[in-house]
Amino acid sequence: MFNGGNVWIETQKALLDEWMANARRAAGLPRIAAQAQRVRKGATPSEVVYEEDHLKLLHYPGNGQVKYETPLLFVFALVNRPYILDILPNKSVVSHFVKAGFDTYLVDWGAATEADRHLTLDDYVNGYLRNVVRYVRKRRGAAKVSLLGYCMGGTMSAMFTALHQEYVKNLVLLAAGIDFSTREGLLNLWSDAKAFDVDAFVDDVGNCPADFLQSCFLMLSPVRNLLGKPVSLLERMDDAKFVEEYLTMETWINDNVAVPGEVFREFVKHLYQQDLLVKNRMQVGRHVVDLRRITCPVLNLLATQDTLVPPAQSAPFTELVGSEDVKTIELATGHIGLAMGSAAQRELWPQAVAWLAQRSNPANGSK
Amino acid sequence: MGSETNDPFSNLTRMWLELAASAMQAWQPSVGGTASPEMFRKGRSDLMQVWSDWCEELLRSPAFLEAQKQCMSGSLAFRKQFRVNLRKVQRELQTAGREDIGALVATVQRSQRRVLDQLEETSERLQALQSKLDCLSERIERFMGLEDGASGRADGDGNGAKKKRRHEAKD
Repeated sequence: MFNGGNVWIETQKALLDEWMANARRAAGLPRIAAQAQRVRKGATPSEVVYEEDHLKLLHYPGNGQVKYETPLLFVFALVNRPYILDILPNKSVVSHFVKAGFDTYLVDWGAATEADRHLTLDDYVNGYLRNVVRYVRKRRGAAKVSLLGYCMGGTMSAMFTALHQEYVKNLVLLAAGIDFSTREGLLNLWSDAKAFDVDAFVDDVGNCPADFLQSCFLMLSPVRNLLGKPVSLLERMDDAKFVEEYLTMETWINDNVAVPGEVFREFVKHLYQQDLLVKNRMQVGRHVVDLRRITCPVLNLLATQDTLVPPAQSAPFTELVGSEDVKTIELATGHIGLAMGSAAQRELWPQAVAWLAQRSNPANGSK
Repeated sequence: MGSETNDPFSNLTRMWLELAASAMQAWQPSVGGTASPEMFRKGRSDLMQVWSDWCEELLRSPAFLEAQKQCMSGSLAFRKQFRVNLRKVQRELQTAGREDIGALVATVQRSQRRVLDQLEETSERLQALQSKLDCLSERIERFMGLEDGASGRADGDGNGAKKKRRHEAKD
């Protein structure tokens, strides 16, 4: 009886201490809110060198010393902003390549407006991307470029390479969806033809709204996203580095953009529902994408804990291409961790840089 | 998970009850243990894991997929009806709506497709013509070569002498 009383008192004291600590942390919330307004987007200095409609091509001049003749072009997805690839100085994928001496470019697709709802994958792959590749080749005086596509950008890069292999020297895919037959991921289940009528959806809403995409992504791990993350912020509000990374990350996660309606329709219908890419029957405009036509070196980077693009969706790519020089690197992390996680910065990207360096022509005058 | 029934709502109710049971189990170790913030954090973490697992199971369940489909169909049907009415008003006011723009874009796309088809056809015909011309010029070259050879042999000198003669004639 006496012991029970002690435990009760201890419990009350512990609760009170914890409550006081939380109250102290909560007092810092206005400071966090102010800090959230000042989040930087992009760490490495860049310049816009090409523009077409909403598209902007960023060039990273680095220190001006280019060691490789073959330029590197990052192709990002249409659903988010591309600054995740260059989010913080110590977590920048782009800076790994810039520092290694690659002439580096990044495609920022911009935000689609209502006027873009009729744009198709053909417009993006055979239109914008082809124009960008042409521009980069001309600017650099190179016959070919290396492509690095992330997520949906990876899928589009694979399509581009299959259709225009003559312009691509190396292809690097980062968590790119290729084989959509898997039912491992929730998105694959939710977008099943029996559960989701994409035609009715696109006919009605036009562009796929950013809020819709955002809520789908949040619902992939609702407890972690809506409860776990705010709680962890509250507990570690005194840790300035954690807060900075948290705010930067959240700013990016909540910075979704609408996807052009027809692109969304094609992506859901032809890939998620019919899985045409692996069947070599995916039609992009007037051309059919045949992955066997990809003969350049291929590096496939995937995350084993990815809930957005499960590894089963990206892993088969190396078996579907016609290339002999293929390599897969797996990392035990999630979809975003692959780009900005500490393990990725430490282990994955140095390997990717070395792989690409071995397969890129040295620039004239460089050792 | 227990047995599935055909009624999505009873399935959801059953899943909810199972969550409540699992959550209570997850919180059990904290009862009667030494009180400390770590103990509460552990309890909270266990509870969140239970919720997370439950959510994963729920979001994968046929009941959820069916509910998603019904919810979306209902929402789209409502929006469609609303747009039909709005369209009538727009017609009366003679203003352009999204459907008009969509129809216009479709027309442009059809024309574009036709132009591209014709360009492709023209390109193919040009290529065929080019290959015929190549063939023809090859034959002419061959013929001229034969003729030069024959005349060279006849008067005892070669092409060089014939060219020289032609050059002199020009001058």
